[in-house]
Amino acid sequence: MRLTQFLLSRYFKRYVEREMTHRTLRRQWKPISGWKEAVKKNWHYEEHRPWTDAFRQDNQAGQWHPRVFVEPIKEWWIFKGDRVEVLTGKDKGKHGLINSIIKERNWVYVEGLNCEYTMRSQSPNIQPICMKSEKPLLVTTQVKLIDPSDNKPTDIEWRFTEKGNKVRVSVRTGRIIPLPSGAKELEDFVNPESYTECEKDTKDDEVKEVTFQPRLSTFEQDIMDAMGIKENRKPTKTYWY
Amino acid sequence: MEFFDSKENWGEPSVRVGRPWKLDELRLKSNSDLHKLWYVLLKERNMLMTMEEEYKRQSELFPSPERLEKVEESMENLLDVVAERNRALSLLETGETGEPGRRWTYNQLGIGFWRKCKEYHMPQYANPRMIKMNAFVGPWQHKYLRLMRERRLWERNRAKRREYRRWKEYSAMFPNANIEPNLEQFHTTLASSMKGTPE
Repeated sequence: MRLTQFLLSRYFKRYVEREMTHRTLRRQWKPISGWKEAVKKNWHYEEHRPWTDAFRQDNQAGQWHPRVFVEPIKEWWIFKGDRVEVLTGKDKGKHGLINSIIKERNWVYVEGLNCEYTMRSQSPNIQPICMKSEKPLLVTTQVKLIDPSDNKPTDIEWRFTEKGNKVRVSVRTGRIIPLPSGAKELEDFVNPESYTECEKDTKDDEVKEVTFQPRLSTFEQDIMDAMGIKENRKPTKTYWY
Repeated sequence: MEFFDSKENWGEPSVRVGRPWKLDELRLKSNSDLHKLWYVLLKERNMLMTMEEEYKRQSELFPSPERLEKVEESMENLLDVVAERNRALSLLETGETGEPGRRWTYNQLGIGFWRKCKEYHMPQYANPRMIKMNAFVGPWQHKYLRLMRERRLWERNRAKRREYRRWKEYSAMFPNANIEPNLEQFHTTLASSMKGTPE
């Protein structure tokens, strides 16, 4: 049982698949079936999201990347907006909030920490400006959740309360670490609680209104009765095989 | 005609729209409501496809392309609900689902497959096209079917060994992760698959 909501709809996965495969996969000539898109299994995930051009360039036919080993995580314990401590690098020991998560690589971006400074200028004549960009951190080894009772890093466990809620509990002190607001955000980056309805959306009360009346007639017959269509012709005998 | 989006959304980087209709929400609605909803979704899909083409023509990025997938999912869920209701009535009245069903048959290469039943005006023994299909079956297919079977077997075995090797590699690299080999996809248990594999 997962505490955090997950997207019940299939549409987001399908959309991401479409964006990934479109213009990335090469086409092969198969003798009987004709031109077919090659099946690609080893997608290479970096800092760019699958619907971006940079991802498409990384995954073009003929591109080779060294193999990446990603530890499979069954249940994620870190969410957007969590306070964490960085354990490695220049910003070791500093606390920060999580900006974004990339689950395919177990990466986490902490706001303002573990940054890379580069000098960039628009043209050779213009003075270069120092650009600061965050570098990702591994969730399993380089980052730890902070225990609110003593502000120190701690490992956590998922445990059940007396009421039956699943919560994160610090292993060292036993204090419950509450979920941040970003935990309610679903896979498609939409927080259902803070979503305001638009013009084309059906309102909540209209959606929940029950208009179904069970009748002993097929869907088609019901519509015909409602629209006053009468069909008295008998269909001829057909065979199904 | 309503093939184009409202003018406020033209040229926007993204258009905010809700989520697709769920199966449980559609089950609450009457048949005429579903009928009307289908046409609303159809018009929306036509509008989105028109806008996609128009943005391509203007060499610009189409905002929020996931709207197409949302509409597609709503329409699929609607069809599922309608099929559910018809199936329930048919089972109640006749004891059969009323759907065409499928049957196991062989194609011209002798390979078996599940074929969806279609509607014909004449019985199978009188249909000249179905009679012609029997002419392709012969003993010459046995050799190729055997080769196909052998190929399928070694492909499956290689996949099992690959999965087992991957599990060993990952467990050695991440000893705290409690990874289990996913051998269920090959319809075997770990014990039986370990019989022939080298330690």
